[in-house]
Amino acid sequence: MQAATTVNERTSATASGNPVALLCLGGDISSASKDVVLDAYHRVDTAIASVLLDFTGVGYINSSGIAIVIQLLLEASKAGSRTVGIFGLSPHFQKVFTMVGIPKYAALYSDEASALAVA
Amino acid sequence: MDYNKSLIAEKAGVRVPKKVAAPTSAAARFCLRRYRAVLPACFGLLAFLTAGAQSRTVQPPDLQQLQQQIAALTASFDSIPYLVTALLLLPIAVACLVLWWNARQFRAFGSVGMYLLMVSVLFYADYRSSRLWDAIFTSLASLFIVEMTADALHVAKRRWIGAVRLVCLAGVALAWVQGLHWFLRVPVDLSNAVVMVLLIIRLRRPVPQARLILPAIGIIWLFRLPLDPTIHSLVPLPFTFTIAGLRWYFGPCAMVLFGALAIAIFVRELIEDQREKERLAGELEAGRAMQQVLLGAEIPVIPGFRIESVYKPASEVGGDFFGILPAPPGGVLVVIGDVSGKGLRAAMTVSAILGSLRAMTVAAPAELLCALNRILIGSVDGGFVTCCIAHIAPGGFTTTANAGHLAPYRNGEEIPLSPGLPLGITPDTEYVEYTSRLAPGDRLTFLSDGVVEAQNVSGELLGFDRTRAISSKSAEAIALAAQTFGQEDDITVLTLQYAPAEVKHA
Repeated sequence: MQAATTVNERTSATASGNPVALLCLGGDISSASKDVVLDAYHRVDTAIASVLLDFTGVGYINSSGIAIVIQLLLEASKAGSRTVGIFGLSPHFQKVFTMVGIPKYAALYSDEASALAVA
Repeated sequence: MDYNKSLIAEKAGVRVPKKVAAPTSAAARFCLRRYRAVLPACFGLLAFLTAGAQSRTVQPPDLQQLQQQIAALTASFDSIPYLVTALLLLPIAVACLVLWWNARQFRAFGSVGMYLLMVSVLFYADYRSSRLWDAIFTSLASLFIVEMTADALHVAKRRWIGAVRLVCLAGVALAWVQGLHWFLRVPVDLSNAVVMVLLIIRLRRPVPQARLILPAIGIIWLFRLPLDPTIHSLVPLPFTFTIAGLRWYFGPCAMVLFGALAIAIFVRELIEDQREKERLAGELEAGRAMQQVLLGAEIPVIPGFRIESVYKPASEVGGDFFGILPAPPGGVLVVIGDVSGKGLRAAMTVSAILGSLRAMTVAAPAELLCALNRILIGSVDGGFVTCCIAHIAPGGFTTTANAGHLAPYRNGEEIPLSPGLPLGITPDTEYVEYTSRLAPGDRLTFLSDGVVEAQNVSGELLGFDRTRAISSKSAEAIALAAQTFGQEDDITVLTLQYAPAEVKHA
């Protein structure tokens, strides 16, 4: 049985002091997560140029879940004014994300500290 | 309780009928008048008839004691409607629980059954004028009406519902404590408030599953409202009506009506669920048949290549696909992929992909992927298709391109392909080709993610490291290993061994 997707939103700052919106995902990411994830992304203040997706609390991501992440990244890429980073993935999903070409649209980091240091 | 007569009367400021109090119903008053007139005469007649032998021992009973006995009898008579409603609710509650026992996925069946059972016992406690059991089952009914409403209206249970449970259970515990009977109002009023919130949530965001049960629960909630003395004083609705000389409360009667309605709605839901299952089973069967046609086709014999394939579908029709196509002169085109999603829709997409591939004349993997991508844009319903294509020409010259699929293994080592977006997401995607040359005896292994994401009972994935370790085994052995580890999805394994010497001998 799939765990419901949750998204906690908070803000932080990069090492250079720029604001960063963090979307901390939890549960499983599947087709049912589409509205939860994309709505949370759309709520991010347009003035914030960096968004980090935190997958630390995510248990499982199926192919439909990956499609949602790609959709979010393509939207950000088309808008052109915002960078998206990803951290908190297990080694397995780091490889899966790499395999489907996500690094072309979002940098993958091991944890929040390294993401904030570079973002 | 919901409809505890003493509580209702207390809250409504009505005089409570006690065992020794004068009977209130017309029927009871009729009985009392008749007994008052007849019984003393009977005792007088008896005294007269036995005067000779027992004139000193037989005395008419005390009139006040007699009145008390009659009052107790008629008070019990007044409570008969509670007994009737308790007896009517009991089989309805049992029927709901039996339905839940046989269809556990419908949680509402269980919570409605429990609520009606609590109310049925509560009415029996009222009939027996048991204040303790009345208090206990009032709290339990308050708990289950919240559970029932959340389940029946398909509202996710939140933390504050846990607080309601605690208050209701506290009501059960405090029922034994003398002097704390006033606490009984807290679970009742709290559950009323929570049920109202749940009704509002579902009214604002309606769901088809709750469209029938919503008004039924709304009616029950309305009948519970006057239990609050403030609301009752503001809107002095009539509590009772009289039939056959008996005073019936609206609440219990509404409860019986609700129970009957709930059964009807649940049976309808079960029938609809069964029809949906039959429809899905038909779709599943059609999808399976289509997939068997697409994947079960005999692998062509291509001189110079030993090819094995294994396809182990999961319980549902999945989206795995593969194809081995001769690529003249003397080469072979290997295609493997996975459509996100399952069912007939995935099977149809697989059909479109394989049909398109067979119609294409080019053999360059990157070009093929671009062409497929253009075909699939807009037809994968928010999902995508991963696909890896390898073209192996005579001499072992291999060109491979990948659209988000697992990279193939060569002699147990992953081929370092450039990652590419899966198909069907964006039209302007380009794919990078990787070229290499196979040596005689080299083995290429292509897999679907059902292998890597096989999952054991503790939730551990087979993973990339274990997959690489078994990737040089036969297709059958790899598939069996993944299946034994814990199959979650379709498993497809395709191996190709380059054997040019066999061409010379052929």
